[in-house]
Amino acid sequence: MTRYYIHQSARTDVAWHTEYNWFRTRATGTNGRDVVGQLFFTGIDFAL
Amino acid sequence: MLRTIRKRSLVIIVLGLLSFVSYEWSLLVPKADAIPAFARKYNFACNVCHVPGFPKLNDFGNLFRDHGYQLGSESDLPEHESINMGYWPVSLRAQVGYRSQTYGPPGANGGEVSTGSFGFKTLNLLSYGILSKDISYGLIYAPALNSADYGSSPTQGDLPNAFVRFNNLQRFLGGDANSYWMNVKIGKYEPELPFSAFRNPTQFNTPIVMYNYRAGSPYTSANFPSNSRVSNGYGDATMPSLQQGLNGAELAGIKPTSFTNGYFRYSLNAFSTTGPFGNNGGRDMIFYGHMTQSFDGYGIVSGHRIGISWWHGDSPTTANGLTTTSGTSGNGKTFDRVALDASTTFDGQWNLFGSVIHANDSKDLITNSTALGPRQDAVWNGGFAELDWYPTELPFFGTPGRLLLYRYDLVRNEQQGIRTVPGNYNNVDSHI
Repeated sequence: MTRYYIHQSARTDVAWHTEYNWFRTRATGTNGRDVVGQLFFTGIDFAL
Repeated sequence: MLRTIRKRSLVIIVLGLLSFVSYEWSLLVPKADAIPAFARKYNFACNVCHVPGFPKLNDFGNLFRDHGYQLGSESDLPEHESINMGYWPVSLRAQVGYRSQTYGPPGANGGEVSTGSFGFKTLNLLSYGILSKDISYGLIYAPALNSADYGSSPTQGDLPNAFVRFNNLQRFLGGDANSYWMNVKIGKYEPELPFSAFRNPTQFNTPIVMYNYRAGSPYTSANFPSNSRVSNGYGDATMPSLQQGLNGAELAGIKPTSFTNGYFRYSLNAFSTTGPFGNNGGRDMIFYGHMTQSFDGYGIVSGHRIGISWWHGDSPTTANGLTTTSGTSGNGKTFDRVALDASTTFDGQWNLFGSVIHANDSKDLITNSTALGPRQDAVWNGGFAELDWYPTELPFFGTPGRLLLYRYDLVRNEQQGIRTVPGNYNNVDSHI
C-alpha cells in the first residue's frame, strides 16, 4: 500500500491511496479447494 | 510453483524496501496530516499529531489522545478567546476511487468472480475534543448511503463512536491533578486494541484479519462479493469483530516510567455483548483489558513497545421470546482471546509492529452441528506483522509525504468447532 500526500494544510488533506491485497482461505471452496481473493484500489482519501 | 513465485515476489519487495533505506536517513518528516478540526482549533502543523498517513497517530498524537484530546492549557476550552465563534469542531472524511475485486477458486469448478467499480467507500463525520476541562468527547457519524461501498452495498446510518470521557479522576483520590492515571470513558467506542483498526490506513478495504476472524465462517476481506461455492462452513455465535465500536465503559490511564524512559498504559473495559442475538443490548457482558509498556519513547515513531491484551465474554445463544426489539437476549456462552503485541521503530521513519492472538470459543457457540457432526470448542491462532515506512525523502522521486506499508496476516485453526471439518479449513494468509 502506498499513500502520497497531494496537498496538506490546516484546513484540508488530500492523499492518493493505492493498495493491493491478496488473500487465501484454505479448503473453503468446492471439493475442498482453496479460495483466493484479490483486491486493488486506487483513489483519493480526503478530509476537511 | 505459485508458492515459489509468491515467495520470490515477497523477497523482492522486502529487498526493495530495505534498499531504499540506504538513501535517506537524516531529517524528520516535514509534513503530515491531521483531523483538520484539531488543526484549525490549535493552528497546529499537521505533523504534530500524525505520521504521513492519516489517520495513524505519531507519539505526540497518541499522548494527546491518551490525555483526552487536551493539552492541559486554557486554550483547550471551547470558550477560549482564541477559538473563533465560527469554528465548528467537525471534520469530514471520504475515500473515492476505483476498486477491483477478484474472488474464487482458480481453475475448474466455476472459475472466479470478478467485479470493479468507481465510487466511494463511505463518509465519516468526525468530532473530537473537550466539553470542559477534563471532560472529553468523541463522535463519528456514518450516514446511511445507498451507493456506498462503490455501489455494491448500501450502508445503514450509525454512530461508530459516541462517548464521553472524564479525565484525571485520580485527583479525587488524592492523586496528582494532571497525571492522567485514572480516566473513565462511557458510551460507544473502539476498544484499545493492540493497534487501532480505525487508525490503520488500510481500514476501508483491507482490515486486519485477526480482528475480524470467526471460526467456521469462510473469511473474506471487507465486503467481498458473496461466494456461493464455499462449503463446509459452520456458525460461531461469538462477537463478529473485535474492531467495531462497542457499547461499554473504560477505566484507563497512562504513566511515564522513568526507568524505561517510556510509558505504562492500561485499559480495562466492560462491554455489553454483541452478536447474532446481542446487538440490541443483551445482558451478557464482555470484559477486555490491554496493558502496554514502552521504552525510550512511545513506541510508534520513537522507541519500542510491548503489550498484552485479553478478552473474556459471553455471547448470547438465544433471543428472548417476549420481544425482539429490546435488550433481553441471553443464555450466554463464553469465548476468550489472549494477544501479545510489540512495536519497534527506527530512525523516526520505520515502524515494525504486530500482534499474535490465541482464541477459544465454547462449543456451545457452534451452530449448524446437526448436519456436519458433533461440536467441540473452536480454537485458533492468528496474528499480523506490519512494516510502515514514511521516508523523509523518497529515493528517485525525491519528494516527501509518502507512506509505504506492507502487512502479512495469518490465521491457523488449532481445533475446528465441528470434529468432521478438516483441520486446515478456513486457515487464512493475507498480504497487503
